[in-house]
Amino acid sequence: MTRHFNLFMVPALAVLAFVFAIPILLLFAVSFWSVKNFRLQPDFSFAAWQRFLTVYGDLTLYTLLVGLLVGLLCTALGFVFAYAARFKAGRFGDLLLVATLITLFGGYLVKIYAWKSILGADGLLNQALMWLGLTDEPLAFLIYSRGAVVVALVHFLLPFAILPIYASLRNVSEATIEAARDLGASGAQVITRIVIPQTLPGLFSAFAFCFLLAAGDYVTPMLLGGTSGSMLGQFVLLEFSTNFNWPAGSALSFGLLFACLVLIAALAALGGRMMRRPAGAVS
Amino acid sequence: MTSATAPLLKLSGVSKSFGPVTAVAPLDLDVAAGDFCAILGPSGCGKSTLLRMIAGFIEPSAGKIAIAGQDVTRLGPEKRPTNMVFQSYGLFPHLTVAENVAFGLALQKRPRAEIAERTQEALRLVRLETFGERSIDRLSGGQQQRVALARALIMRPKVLLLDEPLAALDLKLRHQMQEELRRIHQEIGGTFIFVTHDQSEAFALANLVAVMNEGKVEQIGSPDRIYLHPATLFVADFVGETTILAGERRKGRVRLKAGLEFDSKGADGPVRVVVRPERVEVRFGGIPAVVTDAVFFGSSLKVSLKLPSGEMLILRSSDANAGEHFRPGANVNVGWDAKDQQVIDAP
Repeated sequence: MTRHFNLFMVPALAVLAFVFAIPILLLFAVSFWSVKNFRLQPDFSFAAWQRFLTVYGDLTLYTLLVGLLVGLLCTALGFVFAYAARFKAGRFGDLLLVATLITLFGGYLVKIYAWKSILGADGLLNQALMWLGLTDEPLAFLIYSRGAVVVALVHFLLPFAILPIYASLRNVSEATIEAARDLGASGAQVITRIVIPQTLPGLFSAFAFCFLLAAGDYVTPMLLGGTSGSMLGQFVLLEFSTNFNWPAGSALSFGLLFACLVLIAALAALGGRMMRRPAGAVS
Repeated sequence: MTSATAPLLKLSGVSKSFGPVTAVAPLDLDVAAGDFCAILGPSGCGKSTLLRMIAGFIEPSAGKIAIAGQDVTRLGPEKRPTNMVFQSYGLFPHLTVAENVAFGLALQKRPRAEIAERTQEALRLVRLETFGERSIDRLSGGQQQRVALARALIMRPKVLLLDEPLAALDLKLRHQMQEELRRIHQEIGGTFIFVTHDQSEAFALANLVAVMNEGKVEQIGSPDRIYLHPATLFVADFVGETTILAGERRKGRVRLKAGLEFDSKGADGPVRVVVRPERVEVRFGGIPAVVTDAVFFGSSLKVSLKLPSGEMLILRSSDANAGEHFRPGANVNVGWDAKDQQVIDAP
């Protein structure tokens, strides 16, 4: 049995090794190489990692913060939407879900340009504000700012939060909710003590998706972030292309990857402890 | 009703419609403290809707529900002195057995010691003392049922509601849980109302049975009254094995198609006579009948008889050796006492 099972796994493992593990390990090795006369050569140098920590330390922290913020906002909004679709929308619940799926087909750049035309100097929002007389001249901070990046990322990533949360809400039976109400729970207590504890895995994967995608993004900050809203991903691109500093680009991407993994692992450990000692326990 | 004390639960003119569909027609129901009441009926008869109205999950379209003199018609389930055991149990999968049972008391922010003590007491009542730390998915169906029961009982509800509590259990476990429910009801002396489609379950547990059909209460009464004196043809047919014979009443005398005549007061018109199988016996000078089938059940013998009118009559004999008298094709004469028959005006 086991022997056959192993044999069947060989093709999958081979694909995984060749298209994923080996390239990643190669790229990781490159972060210890050096560049001389625009030529990449094998080496064992920590120069690229030093550059990552000294030059890009603050930006890495800021990038993680943006990721955290976007992840939390998406998870919270996604929960509200998925909860409504699951428990309040009746037979329209599935329709709402299809609607969120359709927005995924809309494409990523289209959404960014949509926000550009809303937030821009002569965009919809500024025109509306001026028409209402709330401001005399266009507000410049609406676009090319950290806020614009967060708004666009939340908008783009929200479906990635809604889907896993909805999937885990589907497994929450109505009977548990009715039983909690019958035992005296208020609407808020039903959500905090019955629904959320049963939805933790979905909430966690929603957060992980959105956090990782947001922290790794470089197109949105490039087009909407201006100078203040830059994120680390843009500089990975810069090091690889303009600077032709592959070791630095590699160190930056792996540095961000490790930082994200540490953060996710910490949250998973926290979530695991919450699962073991849930909110509904004797308080 | 000239009961000295006011009923604990009083439903007056309670009804529920969903749009044009009447789920529960206006009904009155009085349940006294200490009663074990069964709401019996086929699926879709509105019995669960009625129970959920008492629990507060469904607001009645009309009528009034009072518990211990207090009008609770407009109160939600969290504000009513009732607790419910759900058909699918609705146990909280993320909590242990003890945490499930303690949930209601924890919400009330009772002292830790009191919660622990009452949890243990409730678990002892359902004989799960040693299961407190288990997780829900490591329990059998019967054990989950007990946890659901303990979780409701710990709240000391004025009225405990059970929605088809035993439907998900296999036959042996169901009988065992029936015994448990009887024991618990006697031990705590509470008031229980349960919904069931199984008449033997209703009779085994309840001292008060309400039979429902198509949203209407057909009859409310003690089990023996409902069994021996069914008020309607539906009750007669739904509750237990029965034979229903057609006949006609003229000037206070009923003549059955099967060939029997007797006095019976009432309006002229078609009637039906209901006879329970165990009241039918072989009788000299009775109605001639032909045995079509005889099935041996161990403790009794069930005999199907064909009457001259073509109608079928069932006879149940507790004499298990009577089989040789009832070979298929044999001719026998059968009858019953007039007090054991119920005459119902045909619709």
